[in-house]
Formats: sequence, C-alpha cells, structure tokens
Amino acid sequence: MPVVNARAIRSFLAGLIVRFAGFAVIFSLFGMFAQMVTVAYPILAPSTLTPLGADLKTSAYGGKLEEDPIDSTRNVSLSVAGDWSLEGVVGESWFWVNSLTGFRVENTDLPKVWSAATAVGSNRGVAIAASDGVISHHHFLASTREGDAPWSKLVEKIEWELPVIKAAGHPRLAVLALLSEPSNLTIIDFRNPQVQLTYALSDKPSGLFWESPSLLRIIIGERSELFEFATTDIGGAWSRLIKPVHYEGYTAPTFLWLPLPSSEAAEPKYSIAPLLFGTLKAAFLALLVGAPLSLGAAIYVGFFMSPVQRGRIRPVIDMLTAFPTVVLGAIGLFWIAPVFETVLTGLIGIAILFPFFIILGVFAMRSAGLRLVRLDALDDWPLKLLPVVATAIFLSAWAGIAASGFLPGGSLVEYLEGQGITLAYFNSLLVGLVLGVAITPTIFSVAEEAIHSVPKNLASGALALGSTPWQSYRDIVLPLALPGMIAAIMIGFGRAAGETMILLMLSGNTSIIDVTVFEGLRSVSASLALELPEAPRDSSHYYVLFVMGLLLFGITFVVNTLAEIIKDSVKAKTQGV
Amino acid sequence: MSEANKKFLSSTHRQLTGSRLERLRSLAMIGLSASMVTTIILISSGLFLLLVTSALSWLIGGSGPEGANWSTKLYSLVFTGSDLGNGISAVFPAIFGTLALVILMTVFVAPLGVATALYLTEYARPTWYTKLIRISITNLAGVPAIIYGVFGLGFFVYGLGGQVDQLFFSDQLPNPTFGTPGLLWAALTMALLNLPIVIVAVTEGLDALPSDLREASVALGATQGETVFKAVLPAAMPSVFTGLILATARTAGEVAPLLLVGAVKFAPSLPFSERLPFIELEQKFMHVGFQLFDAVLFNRVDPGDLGWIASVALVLVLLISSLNLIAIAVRALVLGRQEVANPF
Amino acid sequence: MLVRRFPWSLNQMKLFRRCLIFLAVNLCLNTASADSERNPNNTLIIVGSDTLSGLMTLWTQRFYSKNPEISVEIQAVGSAAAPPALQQGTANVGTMSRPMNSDEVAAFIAETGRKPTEIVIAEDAVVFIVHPSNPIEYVTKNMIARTFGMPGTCGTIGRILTWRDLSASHPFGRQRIQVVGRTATSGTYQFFRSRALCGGDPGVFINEIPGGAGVANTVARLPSALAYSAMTHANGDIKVLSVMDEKNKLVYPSDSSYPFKRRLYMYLPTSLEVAKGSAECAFLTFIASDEGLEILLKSGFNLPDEGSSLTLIGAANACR
Repeated sequence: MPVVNARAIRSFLAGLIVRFAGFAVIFSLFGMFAQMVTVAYPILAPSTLTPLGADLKTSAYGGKLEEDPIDSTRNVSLSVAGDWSLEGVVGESWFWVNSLTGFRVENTDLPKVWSAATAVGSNRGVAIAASDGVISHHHFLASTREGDAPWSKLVEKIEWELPVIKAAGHPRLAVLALLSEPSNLTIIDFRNPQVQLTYALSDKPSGLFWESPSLLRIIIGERSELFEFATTDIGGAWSRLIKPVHYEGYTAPTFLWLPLPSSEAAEPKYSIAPLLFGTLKAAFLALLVGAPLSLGAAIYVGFFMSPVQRGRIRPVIDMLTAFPTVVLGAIGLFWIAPVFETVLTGLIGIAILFPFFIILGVFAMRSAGLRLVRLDALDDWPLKLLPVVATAIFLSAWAGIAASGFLPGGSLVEYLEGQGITLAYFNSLLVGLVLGVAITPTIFSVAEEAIHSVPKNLASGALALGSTPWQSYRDIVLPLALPGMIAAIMIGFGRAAGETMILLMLSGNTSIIDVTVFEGLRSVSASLALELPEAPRDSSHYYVLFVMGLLLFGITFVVNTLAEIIKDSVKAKTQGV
Repeated sequence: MSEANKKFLSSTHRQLTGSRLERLRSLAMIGLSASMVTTIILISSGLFLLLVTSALSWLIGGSGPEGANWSTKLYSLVFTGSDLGNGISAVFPAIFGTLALVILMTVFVAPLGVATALYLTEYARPTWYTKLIRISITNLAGVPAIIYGVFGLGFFVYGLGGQVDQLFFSDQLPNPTFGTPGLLWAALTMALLNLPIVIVAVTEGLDALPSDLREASVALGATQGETVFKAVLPAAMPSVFTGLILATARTAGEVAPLLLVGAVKFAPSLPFSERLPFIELEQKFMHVGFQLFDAVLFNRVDPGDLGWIASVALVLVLLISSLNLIAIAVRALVLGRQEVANPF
Repeated sequence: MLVRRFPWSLNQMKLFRRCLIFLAVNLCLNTASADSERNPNNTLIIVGSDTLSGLMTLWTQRFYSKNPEISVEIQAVGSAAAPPALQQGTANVGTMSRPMNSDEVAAFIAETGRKPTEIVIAEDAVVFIVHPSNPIEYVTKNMIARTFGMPGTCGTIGRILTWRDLSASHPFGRQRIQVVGRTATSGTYQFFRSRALCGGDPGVFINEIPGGAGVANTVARLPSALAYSAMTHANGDIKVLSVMDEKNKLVYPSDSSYPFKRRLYMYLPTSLEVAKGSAECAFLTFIASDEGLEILLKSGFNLPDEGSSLTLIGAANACR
C-alpha cells in the first residue's frame, strides 16, 4: 500500500511542479507561435460591407446630388496632378485639358462609350464602366517629357454584364461602388478584383456617394441607406504582400516597402519580398565569412587538441561573445565603414594569400630546424603560430591593398566605377563581414561539439595503421562529423537571419532586391525594430509586421529543427562504439 | 565493433600511407586550422584593443570641455553625463536599470529553468515527450531576440498588461499603467529569452553529479521529491549560478527586444521606491546596451570624437566579459568537483 | 563528504526559499493595490520626435535637477510615435517635427473625445548637407525632387544619379550620389516627403538611418553623400547647402523665405486649463523661462513666431 503522509504529498507536489515546468517550455514555444498567428491573422480578413440602416432625412442629400455638377453618367471632369484635368463626354473621346494654357490632348486609351466613370484612389486613377460589359481601372501617370500631358495606363479589367446605373469612386482607395440593374449595390476593390461585395437593395436606387472613407450612402427615392465599408490596407489579397504590385503612379508592378504614406491620401505599400530577400542575403554572406573561420577552428579544437588544452582554449574563443552585436555594429559603423574600401582590398588579399602564407610559414618553421610545430605535439600550434598568423595577415592585407593600386583606375572603387558598379557606403559586404564575426562563436561551439563527439578510438586506429593526423581526420572523423558541421552552419544561418542590431546600423535599410553585393539591403528584423514601436495597435501595418515576424520565426524554426534532426542522426550512428 | 566502423576502416586502409606528401599535406591542413583558432583570438583581442585605445585616447587626450582631465571625463561619463554636451546621458542610471531588469528576470527564469532541468534529468524517461521538450529548448534558443520582443509586445504588454489594467487599474484608464512597455514585461521577455541558457547550464551541472548521491539518498529512505530538492539541487547550485550569470551577460548585451518592451533613452529616476516590493514594475528603464545603441545612432559623433563611444562600448564589453569569466570559474568548480567525487 | 564542499547548506536553502516567497507575495500585493505613486502630477513621459530629442534631454535634465520628485522618461524614436502614445495615454507630452495630420487628430478625438492641445515650441528648418570636401554650394527644388524621389516626383523629368548629373563641372564626376535620409517614422522624413517630394515616394536607393544625428554622422564621413537633415543636427564637420529659388536667388536656411522652414510642435492630451498644476504645466513653465529659452537657442533652434498659433510663452502663461 503506498504511503500517504506529509512527506509523500510534498514529494508528489514537487513532482507536479517539475512536470508543469517541462510542459511550460513546450507551451511557450508553441504559444509564441500561436499568439503571433492570432495577432497577424486579421490581415487576411476580406473587406466587408455592412448595412447600417435607413435614414429618412434625405431631402438635404437629395438636394446635394442634384446640385452636384459632376454627373458620372454623362460627362465627367477629373482633376489630375498639376494643372491637368481629364474630361470625357459619353460618345466622344476623352481629353487631357490644361487649365493654364487651355491645351487639349486626346486620350485614346479610354473607352468612348460608357455608362459611368469616376475617379478612384484620391484622383490617382479612374474607373470606367464601358458599355461593352467591361469595367476598367486606369492609373494616371506623369509624362516623361517636359510639359506634356499625363497619360493613363490600364491596370485591371473586369467583366460586368449588368447595366450600370451610377458609380462612385472611393475617396482614398482604388475601390469602386456601383449601382447596377435592377437594384444591386456592388463594391469592387481593384486591389482584389475577383472578390466583389454585393448587396441587394430593396428598391431601385437613384444615387450614391461616399460620405467618408468608411461610409457609403445610397439614395433610394425619398430614403437613403447607409453602409459601412471596412477593409484592411491590402483588401484581403494577401498575395499583394509577396508578388510585385502595380502601385499608383508607377508604370509597372514592383516591390516596394513604404508602409507609412506621407499623407492620408497616399497608398501604403507592403511588399515584404525585398525584406525577406535582404534577410536571407545577409545571412548567406555572413556564412561566407564566418563558416571558414569557425569550422577551421572547430576542427582543430575538436579533434587535434588534448582535453586539457581544449578546456582552456574554448573559453578563450568564447570571449568573442563578450562583444554583443550592438558593439560590433558600432565598431562597424564608426571604424570599418569609413575605410571600407581599404578593408575590402585587404580582405581580398587575405582571402587569396593567407592560406599560402600560412602553409609557407608552417613549412618554414619546420625546415629551419626549429621543429617548433610537430605532428606529434599538436596542442599548442595556435600559440606557436601566432607570429606566423600575424605576419600572414599583415602581408596578405598589405599585398591586397597594394595590388588594388594596379587596377585600372587606381583603386578598387575606381575600377568598379569603370565597370559601372558603385560600391554603396552601406553595402552587403560590410554587413556580411560584421555579421560573420558575430556568428562565429555560435557555429564554432556547435561544430566543435560535433567533431569532438566522434569517438577518438576510431581515429586512433587509423593513426596506429600509419596514417597522418590529417588523414585520420579527413577519412574517419570528417564523414561522421559532417552532419554536425552542417547543422552548425544551419544554426549559424538562423542566428544571422534573426540578428537585428548589426543590420539596423550597417545595411542602409534600402528595400531592394539586388543580387550583387555592392548595394545595401533591408532586413525583416530591422524593419520590426524600427516600425513596431510606432505601429498603432490593430492597424494593417501592425498586422503585416507580425506576419513578417512569423515568417522569420518560421524560417529559424525550420532551420533549427532540421539541424537538431541532423545532429540526432549522427548521435545514433556513433552510439555503441 | 559495429558494421559501420568496420566499413570505415577497410575503406580507408588503402589510403593510409605515411608518404612524405601526405605528411606535408597534414602539416599544411593542421596549420591552417590552427591558424583559424589564432585568427579568432586575434580578432577578439584586436577589437578589444581598438576600443581600449580609442577610449584611453579620449580620456587622456585633449578634446572635451575646458579644463577636463581624465578623471573629470570618467566621472562625467559614468555619473553626470550632461557636462559632456550633446545631451548625452550618463552610464550609471543605465547600469542600475540593467541591474533592476536582471534581478527581476532572475526571479522569473530561475524557478522555471531549474524545474525544467530537474524534470529532464531526474524525473523523465527518454520518450517522445522529453524529445519534444529538448527540441523546444533548442528552438527557443534559436528564436531571434527581436521575435521575443515582438511576442513580448503583443502578449505581455498589450495582452496581459491590458487585462491587468482592466482588472486592477480601471480607474486610471485610458492611461495605461501596465498596458504599456515597462520593467515587468521586459523582465518576463528576457526571462523567456534566457530560459534555454539556464536550462542547459543546470542540466550540465546535474549530469556532472555522481549517481551515488541519488542512490545514497534513496537508500536512506528519502522520497523522490526529497532526493531531488534536498540532495541533488543543493549539490547543483553552482551550475544554477552559472546559468544565471550567463543569462545576465546575455541580458546586458541584448538590445533588440528591449527596444520594443521598455528601454528608453532617458529615465533618470531609478526604478526603485520605498514601498514594497521596492521596484517600480511599470516604469520604463535605462539599459547599458540601449545606451550604446542610442549613443551610436542618435548622437552627433564627429570623426574625432569616437573616444566616448568607445568608452560606453568598453563599459558594456567589460561588464559582459567579467560576467562570463565568473561563470567560467564557477563552471570549472562544478566540473572540477567530479574528480574528487568518487574515490572508488 | 560531498555536502560539506557545497556553498549552500540545507538551512541556507530554506532561508533562500522563504525570501523568494516573501518577495513573490509582495510583488502580488503591490500589483493588486492601486498604485497611487504614479499619478499624473509627478510623471512626465515625453514621446516623439528625434529632431527634438536632444533639446528634450537637455531640458529634462535641468528640469529634473530642479524638480526631482517628478519622474521623467523620454522616448525619441520618431514623430509618428507621439499621436498613438498620447491617445492611449502612454505619454503625457508628445513632440513632433510635423503637425498632426487629420487622420491622427480624428483617431485622437475618437478615442478620447477631445482635441489635443497643439503648442509651437520652436522653429527650425530642414537643410541639405554634404561632406565638407564637396564643392557644391546649392541645390534647387528640381534637383532635390529628381535626386531623392521616384521618377516623376513633383512633375520633374528624369533622375539624377551621379554628381555630374547634378552639376556638370562637379569634380566628383561619375561617382554616384550616396543619398541618405531618415526612416519612415521620422517627422523630418514625413515633412521632407510632403514638402520636397510633393507627397511622392522616395527613391529605393536612399539609405535610411534611424536618427537625425546618424544622418549627419554618415555625411561627415562620406564625401559623396547628400542628405537632408534637421538644422539642429547639421553641426560640426558638415557643410550646409543653400537652396536656389525660381528667381535664381540663393536662399540660406536662416533666411525667412527658406522654403523648408518648419515649426516644431508639442502636443498635450488635455487642454491647458485641465493641465494646470500637473507635471506638464510645470515643464512648460520651465521651458518658457529664460533658462529654458536659452537652452533652446543654444541647441540651434529658433524661437517660434508669435503668430496665430499657441506658442511656448503663451502656453506657459495659460498654465499659471
């Protein structure tokens, strides 16, 4: 019979607390994910049209409509940017009219026979319901020649068979409200044209207008009915976040991240593709710098060093973690960026010549009879090689810098300018360099664990059979440790993708998709850090930022879990030796 | 010997020659990898020297307000700040704010981290559930710090904070008391961020304990709870400290999440009060890492003035490295004990 | 044998545990009780513009040393932060380098039922800065639109990419202009966009630096840089350009006809009558005093025109 006394109960409670803690860890990881999804989810919400009810006080509104000179069904005059306006009469061509000079230029792109035409998106575009059953949406674009009339570009076309009674364009967005036979109200959002909101009215309506960006009033005889129109900044079309979008004022679809327009009338732009690209590019470049450094060190420390020395050297290498990324970013900004051209030429010199000088130095130290570096005493090579390494760095950097003087143009920057390439001040190489140094300790510790966990007796067997230490590493240990090293690289990649401070300070925050390394970039993490504190809660900007955070979380989650799986598969293989 | 190992040895047998070329290649490759170790050490020493020389040249050199010598400058940097011009604020309130944050964070992370580590080593059998916990810990370690800030803002500040305001401070609404970034939410966010570090450190210490400790305790009639909390945990206390010290070092350096959950540019009133519990939980605070971030991006620094930026950076680096060194010493104590433990 | 070596005895563990419980209980008690210490009369939370942050820091440092019972906090990440903070009550003073737009005012009224009090506290200008070694002396509005904006901004044609495009005899020749600006949350950015870019979009290659001082820091180190900045940050090793107007006359930032002059604003969430006796009024009284105005002038700002809007001195008077 189990004992039930105070001690047993306390022990049971202790067990419960501990079990709860274990569960809490899982809960927090998935809870984080779930919470972010809950916050971000509303961005996917489609636009809604809700009837608010009838309003009997129509005489004022009815009167207003009659006095309104703009009759969207017969002749229309829309003011466009500058001194130009667009005028159209049913059955005749559209004309661009300059209010100062009286110039008239014909616009042949717009249909001549139409039943309704109205400006949308704050007079940056026009929606025309042509009589042949097509509703088209055009943007106004400035001309490319001085003084010329603007031009219009067709952006979307929608099939629409029902005859249109009246149409009214939204004062800010590219949204069209139209009344069609017999008594339907339809809202067409050109950002998401396939999804249309329709409402059947009780009687045939006679007019409509937008009282405010969210209130639409329909005149039905003596009454009027109010509708509320609610939409997010992307109109429920989540693909606008990812594909190139044809924004107002631009000639072609592009990627743009400009979530805060300068006035309430301008269009916010939420393309997250450049940000994702920038994050991945920065992480990749950081790996190029950090992986050779950390993997090389991990091989040496994990395999060639004795346990005592290894215990001593690991904390020394971990001292690099004493530099938080804020400090590395500050050093990069104030000490490296101003002289980056010199640094870059030096680095190119190092990348090419450093291995050569090291190998030369190692051979020199042996053959000078000094026998300082011995294959049978592998422990203290780093210390013994210190003068060689320092000299090698200095010489190869100097060679690189000197060699750049021989390039056509006299310097690296001039040479690149001659090729038509400009090295931006805040460029991806700078980011990659500093970020690479930042992730080196991470990759080192994981890779070193992986290499060290391969049982030593396998390699000893090879050594006993006469192989050199390097052969025993390359042929025995490396194949077994390779998955672990790959996992280390993946973890380093995840860390670099999530890094904020360095990217905030050194990337220039230019939201471009550029496959060369000479321009800057903009990362998801820097955008989160810069914009989330100001984003009003429950605004579209807030939601999109959480979407980006989720994507970043997802990327690191996938990478880390894969790395774990790889590491575990290695453990299984080396068990039982 | 397992099949895999037999295969390895037989396949490499052909290649095992001690020819001169191989020995030279061996020298070369080992030399290269050893030189990577040296390079890393050179990089960290180089960065440190850069900061030290820059800071010293500013302290001892000529720039700065009239009649300022190195001790005046040092005093201004740490305590007063404004005498240096440019609206620069001092480092001391930032250190104090960081201290408050760290203390509060420890209160949250220590119990949860220690309990999880105890669960994994003492209570649980290796099933899919513990594997899931381990994967969660690794993933929590890999989540970018800014995402912790994003989560902290959404869940702690607006979610929990909003609820707390509605339940306890509704008379102050719409002025939020807790529904806004502050010390409490920042501490919770950093606690979550540092949880994996504490768990890993404590697990390391628990694994290093000899099994006869537990066996002796059970042999003497203790229940499992008593064994764990009265025998094992006190023995593993140094590793708990290691974990907390490493967590502190990370908290001092990690700025990104604090941008979102509570650190500010200037909050000279220290977050301590005379009333219990002596810490103002809803206040915003200053932080050494944030101080450097603010100094770098939001202060005019002409090319000749880099010294004081280097000084602030150096304060941060010295703080973190001394914490790391203490952790290393404590960890050596923990692992060094192993040799004395079992005389048999 | 083992237990002796460890730093914690069983009694010490018990004591430690009891202390933790004590602290935890107090935490809960303090949380649950109404916190009377944090009342609006002795807290000053200033949120908003980075352009004004240096001035605010100097002011609050002096103010705090005179009134240590008022706890002060400053957050200066950008003008866009001020309206939401004022509206949600997370700040009681909002600073902006541009006026609140109608959206923000509408949201504020919707949330609180009243209009925010707008006070003009200073005037400054947005200037164009280059490295001291750059021989260029002026820019025109057309050049600015074509360099900083997307093609077609303000009705201009073509883009300016290199220094030679800007001025045919420029010694930097075909070197690309490194264009530097602020991030989108900055009031200076919004002002520049609406005034200099006619509300249009900035070009994609503009480097966005979070702080105004950061922009000036970059320009001080980069010979081929061209940036816009608040006048207060354009000090030290920086060259400030003048603007050439349509009549081909050079206009300097200190002239009254400089096209990018702007006013700097402070917003209070309540009216001044309601704010009497609170920390905001104490602060206003201080900054309108001789000492406060001296700090304002020393920071590179100008006193606001006593025009039709409420200015610093007027607000301080209303507070009395």
